[in-house]
Amino acid sequence: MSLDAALETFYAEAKEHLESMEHILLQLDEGEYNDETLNDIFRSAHTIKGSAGIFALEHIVEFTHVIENVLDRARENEITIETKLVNLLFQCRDHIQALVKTSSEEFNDNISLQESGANLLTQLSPWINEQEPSSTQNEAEEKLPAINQENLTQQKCWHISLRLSSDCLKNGMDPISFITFLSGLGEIKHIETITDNFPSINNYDAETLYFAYEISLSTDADLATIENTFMFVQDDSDITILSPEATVDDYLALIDALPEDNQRLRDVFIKCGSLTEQTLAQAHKNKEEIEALNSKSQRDEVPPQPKALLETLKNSDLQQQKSTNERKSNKQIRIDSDRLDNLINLIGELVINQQRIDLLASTSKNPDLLEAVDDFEGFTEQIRDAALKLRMVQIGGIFQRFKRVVRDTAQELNKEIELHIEGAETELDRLMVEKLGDPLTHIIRNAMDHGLEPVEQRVSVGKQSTGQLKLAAYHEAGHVVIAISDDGKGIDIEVIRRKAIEKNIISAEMKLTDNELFHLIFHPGFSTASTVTNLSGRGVGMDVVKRNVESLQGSIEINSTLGKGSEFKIRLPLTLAIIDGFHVQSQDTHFIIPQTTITECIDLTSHQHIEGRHCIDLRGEMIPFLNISEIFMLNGQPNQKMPNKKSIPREELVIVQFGNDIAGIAVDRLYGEIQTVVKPLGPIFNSLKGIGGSTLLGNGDIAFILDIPQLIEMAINRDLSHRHLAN
Amino acid sequence: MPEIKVVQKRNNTTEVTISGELTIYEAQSFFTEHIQPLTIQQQLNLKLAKLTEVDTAGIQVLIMLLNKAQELTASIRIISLSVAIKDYCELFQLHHYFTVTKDKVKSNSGENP
Amino acid sequence: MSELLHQRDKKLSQQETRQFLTFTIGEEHFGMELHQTREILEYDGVTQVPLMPQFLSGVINLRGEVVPVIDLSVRLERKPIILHKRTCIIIVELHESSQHCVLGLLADSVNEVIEIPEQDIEDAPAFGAKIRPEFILGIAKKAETFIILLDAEKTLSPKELAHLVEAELK
Repeated sequence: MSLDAALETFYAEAKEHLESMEHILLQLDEGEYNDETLNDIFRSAHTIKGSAGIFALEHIVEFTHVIENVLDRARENEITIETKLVNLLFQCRDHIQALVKTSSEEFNDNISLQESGANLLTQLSPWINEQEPSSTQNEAEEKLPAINQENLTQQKCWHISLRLSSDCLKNGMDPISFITFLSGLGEIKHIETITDNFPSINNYDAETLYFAYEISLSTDADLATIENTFMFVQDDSDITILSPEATVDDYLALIDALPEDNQRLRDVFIKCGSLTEQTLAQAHKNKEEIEALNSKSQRDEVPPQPKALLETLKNSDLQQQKSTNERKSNKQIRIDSDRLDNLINLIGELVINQQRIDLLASTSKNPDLLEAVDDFEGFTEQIRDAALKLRMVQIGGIFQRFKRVVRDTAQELNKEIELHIEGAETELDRLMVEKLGDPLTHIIRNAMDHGLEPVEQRVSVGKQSTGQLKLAAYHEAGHVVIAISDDGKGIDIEVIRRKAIEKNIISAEMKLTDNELFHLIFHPGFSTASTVTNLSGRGVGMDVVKRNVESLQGSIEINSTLGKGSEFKIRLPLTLAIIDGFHVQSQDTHFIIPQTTITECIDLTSHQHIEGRHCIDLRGEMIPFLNISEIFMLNGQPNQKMPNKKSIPREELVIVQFGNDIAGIAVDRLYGEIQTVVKPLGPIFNSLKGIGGSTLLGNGDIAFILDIPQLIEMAINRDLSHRHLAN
Repeated sequence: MPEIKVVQKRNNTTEVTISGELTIYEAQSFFTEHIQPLTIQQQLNLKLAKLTEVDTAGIQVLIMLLNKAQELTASIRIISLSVAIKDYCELFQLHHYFTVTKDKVKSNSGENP
Repeated sequence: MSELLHQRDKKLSQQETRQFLTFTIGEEHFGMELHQTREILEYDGVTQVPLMPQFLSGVINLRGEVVPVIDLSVRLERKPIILHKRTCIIIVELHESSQHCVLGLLADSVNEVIEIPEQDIEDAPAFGAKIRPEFILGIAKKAETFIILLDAEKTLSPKELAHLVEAELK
């Protein structure tokens, strides 16, 4: 493992530990904790500090060390968990997070970060052990019984045999870090630095590690913690950890397995205290006895079972450890997300190629080939689905984050708010989860700021004093829905209408449905709160939320009842990478309509086109529609002044639905279903509305994927503005 | 780059003073340029008080120097040690390699460790 | 170690020459640093992207990658390129803030790769080139013709191109 890769692992691990710290702090805040919880948070801080030490990230070590001490005192019940401390620990956690994101050099230049760290430590001082001497005294007291115990029984020590990768110095990892880390776990009773492996002076390479180590460590830490010390080097190193329960035979097996001279190792092990002369002698005696037994049984022509049995016993502990290691690594592996993305891209290519083969096979009319291709198609789909699943992550991770946001914001607003989370296990494409943070934060803050009322107001209208905020995720018709609901005051449609008229967004005479009115809050620059707080508001508003969600091919829907509360529903596709599409053509350009949005295809000319509006009458319902060639100016000569008079209705109309909205999309030609691999068009085309990406057709041509939510909105708005004009 | 001062004395003594930083960054060139070609007489006196920083690669180079002296059956006397080396030896329990040699006769060098 | 090598490379390149791929658009000769170019394709049509400004000719399928193609002539405020048999697409690869970006450029013809000693690259004239000065890396002279060496990162900055597209769509 190179240093960079190891650092990568460190950052990933630190992130997880910080998340877990936040999670635990929230529990502490709610008073829901026990010794185990306190242990866990201590361990997280301890691991961050320790791993940071391995990489000589002193700025992290220094600060985290103090936090670790405070947490240690908390778990020893020397200090009590009080709100003030928890609030401070939240800030400390955030500070560690900031430190982790900062390199040592950056930290040295970043005065404000240094100051905020110092400031936090000053605030923490009431909980820090002021008197260092007393702590050493404590330690001494603690150690006393341990020593006694040692005198009474055998030493309760782990034995660690280290044959580190000879390249480890070159890779920037010095054994100093590991040994320092180990001594932090407990007490190093003995360390033997074996120098037997030094070459002759002419073969010496100063950047190769020649030292080998035998360590006896007295600690309460478990195997996993000790193992983790060597996480970054374990790939090319031989590391054996023997538990305090290991038998003499385990040690003998280890001595056999190690490259150094056996007698020399025995001496080393005796020095370490891991073995004693007596136990060794005893073991020899046993062995001899068994061997004698063996030879006897062989003479008696009985199969030599005892020896085999002994061998198994000898190795059982070692093997057990090995198998736990294996089990652990089988359960989860870390993969570089780039590698995963690359795999999914390749599978995308596979899907395209499969379609090309499909096309060729169908023209050949060879039944055997067709059958084979059919099977191939089945497997391709399975591979596609399995690969996409790899990139799916549970949405719970991001939901968890909001506990903190809600807690902090509620304090800031002086409101009582309870957050409920549902469907945290719902899975979503990792790429989407990453981009959901901002829009969700905005909606949630909005709900807390403008939706949920202050305590007195809630009580006066007979609601429970604590505002209820719910964050839920679930599947619905090939989409993932994230619903954010509150039991606050709801959105006042009249206020929206007044404001929209005031801001010239709509005219006073316009008749709009409730849904249309709700959607006005997504209009750029629209803000219903009369006072702008520092939480929501301030120019960037719901329009940004909407744009973010749309960039993920999603949509937002609002439901609200005055006085009862509001609900925002974000609807997202399951994945962004590969979608089932419907291939259509308009003029010479090929388009893909995502299959999940299509409700039906109809013949446009056979339906009544409503005069003066961009609508058709579909079984009595008014459906707005738009013409792809017109909206994208595909005929080159658009007539913007009188679009509906000039446009000749196209023959085919695809009816699409997204959320509650329905619209028709007129095209020239329908081809049929097709699996499409989404190829983003790149940043240059970001402002292009109505097209969400591109894809390659079986013959290599490029088709554009229509962004249905945006197109529906365009159709509705166009019809709306037309009505507006007509009125 | 660490500085090395070698004084070949008339009384069959080689006195080596190493100062500065001796770490992985300097170890290889320091070894090939200074340690490998070093002539050691019957007696090797090592002055390491000014070795301000040392890591595992650096310690290995020093041990290599001791090995070389031993192979030449030179007797080794460590005159002085820096805090950095002492700390390292503390951590790895390497005192048997690096301990200031206690003399019955006071060392000629007159250096204060 | 790698840093040392890097420094050495840098020094070498400063002392020696820089390689440019030269091409013509209309009557003018241009050069672009060789390391920024990836390959040259015969022009075989592009798929037009709806509503795009004139400098954005369209997109092509480059072995499974959808790559935008820029009419450099329009970008440099000249008349659009006239397509003919020899028209080609130069694929360039830019690294903007750790993100890599692949673009195609339309050119009338691609000439050769030339090596220009660092000291022979002259600063862009303040006027006369009829090109925004920040687009020009320098001017070189080869066999009595002037070659305008373009700064690909500035000329083809995805950020700026995106702004231009946005402006067009409004």
